[in-house]
Amino acid sequence: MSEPLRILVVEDNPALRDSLASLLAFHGHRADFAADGRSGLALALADPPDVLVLDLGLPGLDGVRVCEALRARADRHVPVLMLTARHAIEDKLRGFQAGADDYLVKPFAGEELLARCLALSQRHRLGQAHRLVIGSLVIDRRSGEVTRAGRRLALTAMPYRILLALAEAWPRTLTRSELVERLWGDETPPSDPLRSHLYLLRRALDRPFERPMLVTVQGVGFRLDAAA
Amino acid sequence: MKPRRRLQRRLLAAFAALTLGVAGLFAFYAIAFVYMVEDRFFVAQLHDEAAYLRQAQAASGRWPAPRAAHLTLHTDSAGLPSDLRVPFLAEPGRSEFPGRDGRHYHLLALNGNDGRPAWLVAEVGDRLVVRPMRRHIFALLAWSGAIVLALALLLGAWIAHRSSRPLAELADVVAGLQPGELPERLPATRGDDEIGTLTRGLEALIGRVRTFVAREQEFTRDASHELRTPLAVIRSAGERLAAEADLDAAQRRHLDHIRLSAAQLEQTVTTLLALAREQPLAAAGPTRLLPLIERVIVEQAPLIGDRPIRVDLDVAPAAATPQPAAVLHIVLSNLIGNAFAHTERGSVRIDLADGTLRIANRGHAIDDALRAALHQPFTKREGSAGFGLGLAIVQRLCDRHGIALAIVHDADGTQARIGLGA
Repeated sequence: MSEPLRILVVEDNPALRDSLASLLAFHGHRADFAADGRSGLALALADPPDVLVLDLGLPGLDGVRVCEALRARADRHVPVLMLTARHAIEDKLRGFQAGADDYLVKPFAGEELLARCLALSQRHRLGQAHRLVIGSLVIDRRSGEVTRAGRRLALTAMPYRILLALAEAWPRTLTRSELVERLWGDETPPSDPLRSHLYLLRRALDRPFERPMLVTVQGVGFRLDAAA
Repeated sequence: MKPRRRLQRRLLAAFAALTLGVAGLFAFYAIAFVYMVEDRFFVAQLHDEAAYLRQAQAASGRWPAPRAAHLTLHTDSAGLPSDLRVPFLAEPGRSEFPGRDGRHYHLLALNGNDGRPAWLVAEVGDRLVVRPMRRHIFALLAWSGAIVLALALLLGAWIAHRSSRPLAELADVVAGLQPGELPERLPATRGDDEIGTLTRGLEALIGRVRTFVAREQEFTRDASHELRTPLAVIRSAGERLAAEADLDAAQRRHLDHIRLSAAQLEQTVTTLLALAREQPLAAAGPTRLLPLIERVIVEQAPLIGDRPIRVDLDVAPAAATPQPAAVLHIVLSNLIGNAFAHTERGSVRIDLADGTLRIANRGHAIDDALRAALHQPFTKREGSAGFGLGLAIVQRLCDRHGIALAIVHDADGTQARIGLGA
């Protein structure tokens, strides 16, 4: 899919650790694991990973303090994705104040974790930031060029903006309302505006290929399927 | 505020009644006393004159004329003045008679030596002392009574205010108590009177309530959080398992059950957390319905799986409600999720009519026995993963936020109606 990452996971639950190991290995990433805050911090300092996935509720040294210590002592910025079982806004703020770059509330979808790790690792590689890669789809935001499986797609302005919105939201599903608001803002056009533009997008994106990449969810949601 | 005013008013009424009673009684005594003194004076005069007359009659054998002009002697009742004669003949035993034109009589029966009756009559109309000053006396009594009453009311108000103020303050604080923000201390705890005792009792009670509330919230919160990590494990392991190619149909079905149950458990945990919040979520502004419903449909779509179910959504883009989005999201997730999970085939229709959002699934009825118990915790249908408890919690969440929720069943299926007050 993209170049493999080195990810350090600090999580005390052995079953979740095991499950994440299998997820990351399946997608070709290299993962290291620590079961408590102290050894996690030592590992992160000794050999800084591309992304640190850090559980908030760890025995001994908790996630917030690991993050603070890492920010104080590491010689570079290690992107930190905080995992939390707490959904309250105060817990999120506490995480961000300690220096976390992003957070994910348990339970989470594996795809979401992967997407956020990827985004975090690229946030600090500025040269790459204008390229969006979703499976076989590559969008160059600077030139506006789109390819799928190496084949250049010819898109007019509105279908390109729809595709870009879906790619930026990936792996999330965008609803019809969200798409309309993103494309037209508050000035909603009168009749069903998406219909014809989606038709044009599908014709360019999916018709030449075996499996459609643009997936419709119950007529109200749209997302890109990276496996297509 | 109400109890305080009533207490003060009663105290004032008691003070006023007592003052009026005492003042009235003493005014009555004073007036009776002056009249009595006056009468005694006239009676004593009559007796003096009677003694002189008897003495003279004994010496001379005949009655002399009385010495004062206002006194007259009558040996025959027919000779009495007419305004005296009539009442005297009616009541011969009486000694004092009011006459006409300001006249007033005192009468004394004399028994002379000849054995014939005679009457000494004093007409004292001009000599009365009390009658001319009666108006002054009444006026004096009236305004001094009014002054005493005013003083009594002032004193009463002062005492009422002083004694009921701590109670009123306490009543104000108690009336304004909120379960989420119980105060550490109540006012007026220092006294050892009844109010002090009451205050300390209330403080102890509030302390226990606070502990209970905190314990319940902590328990719900901790229980929910403890459940999230195992749920993350189930979800992650389920995803990994689903990604493997060599599962047969039965294994896939079991896996689907695990994943659906985990999704519903996740929903229940979120709803419980919303209930455990101390403060109800406040609405930031009107919530637009269509984007929210679309988001919920997308999130709950995995519950449909491969079943042939059509989702009909008929809500205008501009429709909005004052209810907070976070609460609606939870309520709709439960109801739409339920509709998706409990429809075998057919359609789920979501529409808005007269401020009521309706979620109806067609083609899968719920049996009668379950209907009555639908909102009771832990009642669920065969093959359901969390229908009963989930709906009971949703009902509680709706109650808390004043959202009217009704579940209606008919031959075609189930319809949830949510009154949004839009």
